[in-house]
Amino acid sequence: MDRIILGDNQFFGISHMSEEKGMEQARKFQDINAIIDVLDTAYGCGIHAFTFSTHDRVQQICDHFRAFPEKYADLQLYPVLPYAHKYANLVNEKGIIGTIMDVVVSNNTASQIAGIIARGGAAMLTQNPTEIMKLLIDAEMKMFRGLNVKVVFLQNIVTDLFLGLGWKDVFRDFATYIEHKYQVRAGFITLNMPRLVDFLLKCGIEEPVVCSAINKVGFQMNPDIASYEETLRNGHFQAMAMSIMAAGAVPPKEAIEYVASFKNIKSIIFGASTRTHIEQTKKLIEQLS
Amino acid sequence: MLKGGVIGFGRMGITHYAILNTHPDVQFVAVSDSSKFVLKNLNRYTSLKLFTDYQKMLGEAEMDFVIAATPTASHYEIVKAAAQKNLHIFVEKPFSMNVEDGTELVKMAEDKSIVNQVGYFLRFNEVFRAVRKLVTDGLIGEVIHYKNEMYGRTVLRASKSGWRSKTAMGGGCMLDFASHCIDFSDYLFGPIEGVSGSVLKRIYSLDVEDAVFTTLKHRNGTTGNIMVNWSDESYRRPFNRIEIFGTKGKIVADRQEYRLYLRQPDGKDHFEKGWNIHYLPELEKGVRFSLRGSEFTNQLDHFIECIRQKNTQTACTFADALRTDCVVENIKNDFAARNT
Repeated sequence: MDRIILGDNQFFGISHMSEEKGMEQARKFQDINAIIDVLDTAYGCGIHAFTFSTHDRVQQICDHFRAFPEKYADLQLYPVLPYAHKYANLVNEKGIIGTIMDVVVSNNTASQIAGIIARGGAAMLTQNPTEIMKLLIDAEMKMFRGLNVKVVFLQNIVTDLFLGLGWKDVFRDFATYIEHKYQVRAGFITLNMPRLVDFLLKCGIEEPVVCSAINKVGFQMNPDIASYEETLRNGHFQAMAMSIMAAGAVPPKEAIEYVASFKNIKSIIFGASTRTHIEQTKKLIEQLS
Repeated sequence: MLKGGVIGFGRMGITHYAILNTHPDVQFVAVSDSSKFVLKNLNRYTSLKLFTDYQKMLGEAEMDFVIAATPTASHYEIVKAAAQKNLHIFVEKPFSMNVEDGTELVKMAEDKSIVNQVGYFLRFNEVFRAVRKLVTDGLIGEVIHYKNEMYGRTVLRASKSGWRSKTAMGGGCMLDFASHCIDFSDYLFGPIEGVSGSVLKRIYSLDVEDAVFTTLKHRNGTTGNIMVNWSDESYRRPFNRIEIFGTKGKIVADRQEYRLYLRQPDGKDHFEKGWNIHYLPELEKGVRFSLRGSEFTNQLDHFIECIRQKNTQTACTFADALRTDCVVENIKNDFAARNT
């Protein structure tokens, strides 16, 4: 896994510090070229790894990557699915089945849909949740076709929902399908890292890839920072750290020193939208690691 | 160990279930839902007793409490049936479709001494709790007026399906969005006695209002505007914001940060003259399990703790939520009086 990964929250109006700041950034990055400029800056600095949610606009970014294969030869993508807000309103309106059918229909050609219907259609879907999951994964992964994918992440609301439900099969099925179909590791993003690591090991998923907030003030680290530190020291998993600056509450140097002190942390994901910020953060991670 | 059941396993029901399923003192034993898809999957993954009929569930399953997360129109009969079984009840917001029904349920809960709570989760947000303390501590002096807003992109086109688009089921922006703001105003400034200048607007919906604007007057003299619109595409997700003007300063807050402006320092070295900005990372403590925001865990853990302590005065009782139902009715009447 890559040591340094650029995150994508800043491009889509997501700020853990301030909703207004998020909206301001959304305005700034309304033009897809503004996003590509930042990605190119990072790429030029030697950061070749990016996480992307499956936000509708990521399709355009992926089209850009595909248009310049030589320029982006070393690109490594870490998709995060699903982009939950995309579905929230659809579920309100159409219910679970309606939403699934909508997503499947809008992401497949007529002949593919005919194939799905031939295999049993909606009736088959309701009988078999694993089949639903596979269709949704394929629909969401479609935008990354032809690009180099390193890990496919399950987004935190979904991970934590199934963690709360305690449904082991869902985690096993997700990991197995990602590893077989896409030939890469499945990863899990969570707001409850210690509980999740313990649970994934009980599911029989060895050395799971788990991404969570890790910062010295305990922001978005549930139940508490002490449990995180304990799991980072003793847990058998591959940790990826995000929110290392706790949305601005921790200065960059302190943030990276803290994360670098845990040998178990393989990757650091950070969000930035200026050249200075990208260069500084990369330099600090390299110096302190 | 407290035994619980969930009635209505939709988006909120499943969230509440997942959060309390990780609580060390709670064991869920039963779920009722009208969807075969939902029940089939629950049957596949859990050993819960499953029901299509909540009446049957209340009759057969042995429980200490229930979570009711069904469309608003069914709250009255469900809460009434659960109260008759002496079960502690957490019911989703808004509480009831009309004040008469709600009043009966409040009385029932009091007579039976059951723990009762309604899901106005903004009361459990750490930023808004801090804002309430600033107001009640008098930091900004006497509150003159406020603006309490909620915007989102829940409805962006006409829809005939889904209960949120149907008045009779408890749909509409008033019950879904405005109720949050009304409850939050009540939480900050106390009971609301007057409603005026109400405007209900339809934007895309066929049967329900998509925006609500009104002026509220509280018993303590404070006034404020409620501005709510669930058809605003420019918001990524539901967004709450409040701006409070007082004689000594003002507060601007959303779920992630508050900005406090003071005309003079507070004298205790906590806040300086001018702007004081504080973010959620400083204010929020970890919760034992987090799903969709720690507010949701805080409100349910509070409910469970109240059951354990036999404390019927939860942070958002049926009686608290009934006050919001009254205001909703007054806003509708205020609007209708000028538009008939």
